Amino acid sequence: MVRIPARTGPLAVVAAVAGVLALAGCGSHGQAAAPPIHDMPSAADTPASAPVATTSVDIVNFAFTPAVITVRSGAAVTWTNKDADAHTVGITGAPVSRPLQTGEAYVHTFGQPGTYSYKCTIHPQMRGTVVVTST
Amino acid sequence: MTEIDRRGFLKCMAWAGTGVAWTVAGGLLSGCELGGTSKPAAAKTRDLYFVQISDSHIGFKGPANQDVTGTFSGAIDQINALPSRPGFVMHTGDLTHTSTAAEFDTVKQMMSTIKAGGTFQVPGEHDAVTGDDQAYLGIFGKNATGSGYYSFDMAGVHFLALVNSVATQGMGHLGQAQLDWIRKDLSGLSSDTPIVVFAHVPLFAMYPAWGWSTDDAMQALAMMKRFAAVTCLNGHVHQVMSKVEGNVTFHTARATGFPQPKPGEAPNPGPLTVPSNLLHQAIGIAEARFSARTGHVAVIDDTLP
Repeated sequence: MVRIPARTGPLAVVAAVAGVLALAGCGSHGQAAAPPIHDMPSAADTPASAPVATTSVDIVNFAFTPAVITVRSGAAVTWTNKDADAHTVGITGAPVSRPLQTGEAYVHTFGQPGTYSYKCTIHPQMRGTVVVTST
Repeated sequence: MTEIDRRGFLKCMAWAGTGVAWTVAGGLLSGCELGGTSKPAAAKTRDLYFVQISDSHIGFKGPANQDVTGTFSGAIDQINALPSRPGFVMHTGDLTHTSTAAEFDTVKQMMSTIKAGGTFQVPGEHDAVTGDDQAYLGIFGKNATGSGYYSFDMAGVHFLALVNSVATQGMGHLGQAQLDWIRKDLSGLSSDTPIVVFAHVPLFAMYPAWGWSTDDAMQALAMMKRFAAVTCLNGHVHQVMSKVEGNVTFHTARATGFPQPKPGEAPNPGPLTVPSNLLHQAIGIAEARFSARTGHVAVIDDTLP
């Protein structure tokens, strides 16, 4: 049986004139020092991540996995959202996918060879790359 | 003579003979000239009571909350049952989960049942999931500028409703156009005007690795340095967090939809599933009281009944 903790009453937290809470991982007024979210390094920017030959990408833990894939021209790539939050697949130069709820998938067929970058438009720090090679 | 006038007068009297006396009111040191009229620092303000709700995520389906419409409705019932009617209710974004017309329509209809002096909202990233904010702006952006920002005054307090999460301008980003607008918006205000800033994403660096910060917030806050008291009320993080920095108090509110993990305590910032009988203790509303006497906003976070 799960024991419900005693309610502390309606006043869970009162923040007024003072009441500074220590923030784990938070610098004091660190906006200036904090890296801009859209410039945060992602797997796609890491030279070390070699392209994986696959047509399946999982969306898990707010990341595209694998982040860099390689497919042949004409291949259909499937993204499957395994997170509890919704995500999208926004490929540069193509319409953004519908938002994918948990368990939903999106398929996009790549024609022209080239390197296509994409991101989740809800969480733009999530980035990936599809390298399309000629058949 | 009002309470503040009388108190200010007495303080000045106590310093009679020194030329100028200083009194702290509204967090601002203000001189009161001897022989002149003692003025309260936060002139023309009156007490104001308002409520913040956030992150209803209408359209979300998952184990973290199987009925976000039900809990949003519960939050509205909670507001409508408050002993005094709020001056207004502000929804600080992520009204919907996937920005569909049906989700926006549900939110609009539900918010119209709130008993308050008015309702306001700012968008979150879930209100423009494909980067297109036209659906949101079509319904909620009628009196807004640019991507949906605006300001209003109530009880002598100046409120800014900012947009820092729509992908068209960058996540956790205000952008130059909005910063220019803020500068213009604040330019005519006297420095004793209390300022309250609403925005979806926290305006302090709560946890940048999860996108819980606004990269150009410092530029906006720099424009507010001259004001006695600035209160930033945010959503996005689905949990209560407070921080005081100089003249600025930051506060984040619980969601009405579902909780999220504490910074760094999970592999990702997504929905946190708690035992269903504990869900109501992890979501809720925030009551806010502006006191004309102190010039400050006090926030009381209530969980759902």
